[in-house]
Amino acid sequence: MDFQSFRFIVVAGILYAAFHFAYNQIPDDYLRNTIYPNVIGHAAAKTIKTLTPDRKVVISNNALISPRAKMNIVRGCDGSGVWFMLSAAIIGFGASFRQTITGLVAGTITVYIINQIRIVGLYYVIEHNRAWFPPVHTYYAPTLIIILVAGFFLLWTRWTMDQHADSAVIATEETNQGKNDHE
Amino acid sequence: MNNPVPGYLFLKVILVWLVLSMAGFFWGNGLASTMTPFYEFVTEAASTDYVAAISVEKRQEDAIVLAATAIRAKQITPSRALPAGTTISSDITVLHTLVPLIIFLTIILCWPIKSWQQSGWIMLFAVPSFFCISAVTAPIQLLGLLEMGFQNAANQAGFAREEPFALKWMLLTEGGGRWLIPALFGLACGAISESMIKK
Repeated sequence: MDFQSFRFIVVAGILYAAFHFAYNQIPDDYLRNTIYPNVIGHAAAKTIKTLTPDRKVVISNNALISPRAKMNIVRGCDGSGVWFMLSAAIIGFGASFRQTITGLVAGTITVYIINQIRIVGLYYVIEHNRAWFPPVHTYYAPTLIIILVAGFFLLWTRWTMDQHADSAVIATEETNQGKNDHE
Repeated sequence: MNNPVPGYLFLKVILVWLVLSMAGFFWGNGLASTMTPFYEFVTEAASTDYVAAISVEKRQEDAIVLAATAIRAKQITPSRALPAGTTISSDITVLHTLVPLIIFLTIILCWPIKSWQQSGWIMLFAVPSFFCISAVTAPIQLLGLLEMGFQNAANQAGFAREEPFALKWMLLTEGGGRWLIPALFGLACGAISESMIKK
């Protein structure tokens, strides 16, 4: 294994552990009563009501409640794990500062959107057939989300390498131009 | 065996994920049953407090069940202990256990392979990695769940008990670490196989 790959694996692992530690310092009550309803719950309820206007979905703290289904958003269901993983990978990749910030912002938006789709999807799964909830929630959704986020990471790394190649070409052309002018 | 374009690679990943997920859904119990002696070995190596018996039980959601018999009395609070010889149990669903393995196998099977020689190397590294990933997820989670029970009992009694390693590790892996570990193992297998063929 080359040094860059080794450094990436070590840095990503350490950063993930640091993010996880920081996340665990946030009290459950604060997540349940403030973060989950405001950041996840209301947006999910609005999406459900837009897609299916007949659903009377309300938010009570961390719960999405309707006459047909009730779903609690708990610690870990907020997409934090996959967000930490992606952020650790982006920082550990060692791109330029601007590329890293772009990756973190775009990655955060991507993870948020994917997680909102998951939350809304899970609500409809409970509504349709409660027995399908456990396998979708604990098995299909996590692996699919990891793959989608890995896809985002792959695209981002290609973008950073393309930019690097473009700037290398420009630098070479400028050097050649300088040589020609000198001659 | 050249580097594929991202679109092709992404489609391949989705297809492999789908096939592995369906395979796990239908034949996961068989795999988990095969792995139970290994899980028992790891559980007993990770905690010398118990003799472990692990089995797969058919339920509404099929589960891997740990029956742990305490070898010695285990102190929970200053006034309360789990007597030696007592058997306690914890369980996790089979599907939950398969998640890291599916992530790992998806990476391995979709890694852009440049030669048959590299395929050989990647498979060679994948086998021990598969067991490493299994070792640091399911058995430790089963132990962590036992410890969580003790921790809750201690908290209810108003006693501040130090968090054991199995509990800390379980919280780390359940928070998303069980996704990161197979991803890093997969990347390491791919990167090492590439460096092996360059030599």
